[in-house]
Amino acid sequence: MAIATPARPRPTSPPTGPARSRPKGRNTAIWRGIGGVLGLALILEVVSRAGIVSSAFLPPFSAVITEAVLLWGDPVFRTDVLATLLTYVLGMLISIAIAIPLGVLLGMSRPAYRASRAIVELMRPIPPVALVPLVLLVLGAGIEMKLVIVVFAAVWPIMFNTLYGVHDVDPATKEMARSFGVGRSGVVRRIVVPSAAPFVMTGIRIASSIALIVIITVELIAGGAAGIGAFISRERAYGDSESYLAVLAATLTAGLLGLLINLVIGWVERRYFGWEATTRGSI
Amino acid sequence: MPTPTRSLETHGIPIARRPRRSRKALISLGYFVIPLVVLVSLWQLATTLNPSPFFPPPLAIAENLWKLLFGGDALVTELFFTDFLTTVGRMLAGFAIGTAWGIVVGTIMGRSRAARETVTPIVELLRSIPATATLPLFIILLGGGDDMRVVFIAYGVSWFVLINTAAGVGSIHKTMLDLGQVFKVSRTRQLFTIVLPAAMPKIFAGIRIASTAALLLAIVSEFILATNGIGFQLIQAQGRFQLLTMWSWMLALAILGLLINSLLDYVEGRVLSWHKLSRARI
Amino acid sequence: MTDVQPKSTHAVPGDPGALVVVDNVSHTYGSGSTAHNAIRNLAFSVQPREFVSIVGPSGAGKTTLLRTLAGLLSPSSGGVWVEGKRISGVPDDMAMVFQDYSRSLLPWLSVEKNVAFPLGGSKHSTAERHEIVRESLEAVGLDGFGKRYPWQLSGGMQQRVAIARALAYRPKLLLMDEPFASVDAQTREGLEDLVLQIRDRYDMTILFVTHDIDESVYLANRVLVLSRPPAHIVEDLRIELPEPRDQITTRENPDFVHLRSRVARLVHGGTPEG
Repeated sequence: MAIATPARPRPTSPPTGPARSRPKGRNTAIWRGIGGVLGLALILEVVSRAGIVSSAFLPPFSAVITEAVLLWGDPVFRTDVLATLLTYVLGMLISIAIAIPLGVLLGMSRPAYRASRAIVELMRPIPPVALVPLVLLVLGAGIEMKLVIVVFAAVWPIMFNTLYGVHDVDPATKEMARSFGVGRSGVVRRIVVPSAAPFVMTGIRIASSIALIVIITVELIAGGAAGIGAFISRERAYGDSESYLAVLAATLTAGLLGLLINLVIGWVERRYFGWEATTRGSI
Repeated sequence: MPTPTRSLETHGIPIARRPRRSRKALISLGYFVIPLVVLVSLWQLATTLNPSPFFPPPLAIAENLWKLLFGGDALVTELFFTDFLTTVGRMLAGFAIGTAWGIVVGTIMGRSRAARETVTPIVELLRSIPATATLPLFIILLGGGDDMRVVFIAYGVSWFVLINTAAGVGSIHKTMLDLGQVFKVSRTRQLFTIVLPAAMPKIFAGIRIASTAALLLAIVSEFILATNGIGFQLIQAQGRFQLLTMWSWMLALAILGLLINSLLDYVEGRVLSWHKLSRARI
Repeated sequence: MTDVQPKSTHAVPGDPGALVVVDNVSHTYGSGSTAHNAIRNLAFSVQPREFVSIVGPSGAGKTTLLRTLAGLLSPSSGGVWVEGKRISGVPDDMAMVFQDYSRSLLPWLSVEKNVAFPLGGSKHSTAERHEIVRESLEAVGLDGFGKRYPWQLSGGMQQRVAIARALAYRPKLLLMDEPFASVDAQTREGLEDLVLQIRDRYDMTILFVTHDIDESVYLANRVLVLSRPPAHIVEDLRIELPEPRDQITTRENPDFVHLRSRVARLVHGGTPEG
């Protein structure tokens, strides 16, 4: 026989629980981040001015920031930044124009997919910048040289991701479309392309950061080129403390530019292509 | 993704078995080798029919490389030591230091939310600076010698490892951490037996990227103010318009990169086999 | 707001007979406008060798309670006493089986290394450890599976490994957090009977959280029914059904049917009589 032992009086109607949102969490993150940056700036400033680390080695943070701002007043610097950005935009456009169609084509056929993966694996170990000496000889030090190398570097992530995205479309979805009478080109247009789009976007994001790095590197090592990298290289060659400040400031600015571009692309990716839960990128 | 190819009956219960590695490897190798052979043959054909000073025939390149590195009286030539191995040495040193640093800082960032949130904006900014662009800075600060190069490589490499480690350590499932607590495992033991193994797939991904970056940065560091190394040889060849030599060193570079990749593939197969297999099952 | 309610006769901290005493435990997540009061003024005690099922509607109450008992969570107010001592952090002699076995077994370790995991830092010699592992695996019916890896096993078998691991720790108190929720119905029956066997073989005290009402009554000799958050104990039901339990005959038993209906009504927020 079962015995019931009520331990508490009957419950009244349960109160509705408030939403379990956590705005507090996000705010602490932002404050901590700001704190970190300010803290670091303060440390750098103090360490430099107090002479703990010689200011020839580590100029005061405020001096670097000031220089970074002043740089924008220098027409030479501005031209260089423009040159880099121009190469970047052109390089990305060309890479996209080549990589996406190629990727779609190769992705649709299974053997082609496997073969292309192998070729990509082969190409991967070759650092694009190692091609600089060769391309310099063939094309000289102009924008064509930069573009060739950038495109060579940026094509692979985009193509590979397009390949992967196209190949990886859920066959069940394709079958579903066919069962509704959608023809082959319709399937490509309405299922494959939108399905692969987030992967392509990820590839573009990866290619973008690679492109910027490659451009600046090429400008650095190829004598006579224009661009931020060339600017930094030139300033270093002067060898005095003023130019050191310029080098520091320009390097930081290059980083900031890269960060900004990355953030913008990341935003676009999330906003327009974020519906894909997995953003698997490769390379 | 590997799928089980056979079932083993034990106690009347089907068990998934490890897929046959040899057959799959052979097929993958085939896909790899055949396009390579095709490409090289086309190139050879094109340059034989239409010679160009800028694009020597692949066979000539290979032959020249062999001569450069292995053609002397001894097993290997002096160039092998002064240039090929020095690059490898710099790369390995920078890679090792950068990876160690990245794992340590990444683990701290991954474990402590406070640390992660405080440091993330700084990390995001610093790592956006193209590593190669910091070379002039390193030259100013540390001169043109090898210690500068190793530090430069370590710096550039550490970001990839750091970020991946932080992501790996930070995304450990709560149940696994609960496990460590419930069974009263010491914090140190938790770190080495739960946290790091669980994060290893992501850490390893970071290490792979780091290895590619290490080679790249080593070469770039040898473009400026160097007296030896593969990068140095490339610049020399460029200056002297010696295209065959230049292509030979580029081939050496590609082979080096391939070797490193294969080595890492092998290590991954041994250390992370559990990861691929458990993912394939689920 | 504190309820003025009569303290249950069991909830006396330091009650020497009880293995576990939960004294007026409440817990609130967050603070201010986003505060979520998960459990409120829970008080009960558990005697040695009891099998207590904790059942209630979905929501944070059951898990919060279990985590508090495990010492993984420090409650906003009130305390838990295990073996007469108030716990801060994870108490000794207690082991836990988690719901998500795919995340609680370490995929890079073999089955036997997984089972041996809790023994890692301890005083056992290698031979002793080996024997404990072997015995634990045998107790869950996985004798001979030591060298396999978790990915090679089915869900039910993985959960058995998790149970074996808890056994290896030789706990006095075993906490189980909806351990069979992710397992198919047939496998679940086998696992339920396994837990009963283990309780008999090792003389354990078991606290078993579940949302499956039938399971809660089938396994236990006592069922605690929790309300929706802020959860408190709606009923503390003694289950006296014939032992040993059997999946077919026990579930046919009219007392079983009556009890589970009672519990079901309470869980769904109504009165016990319907």
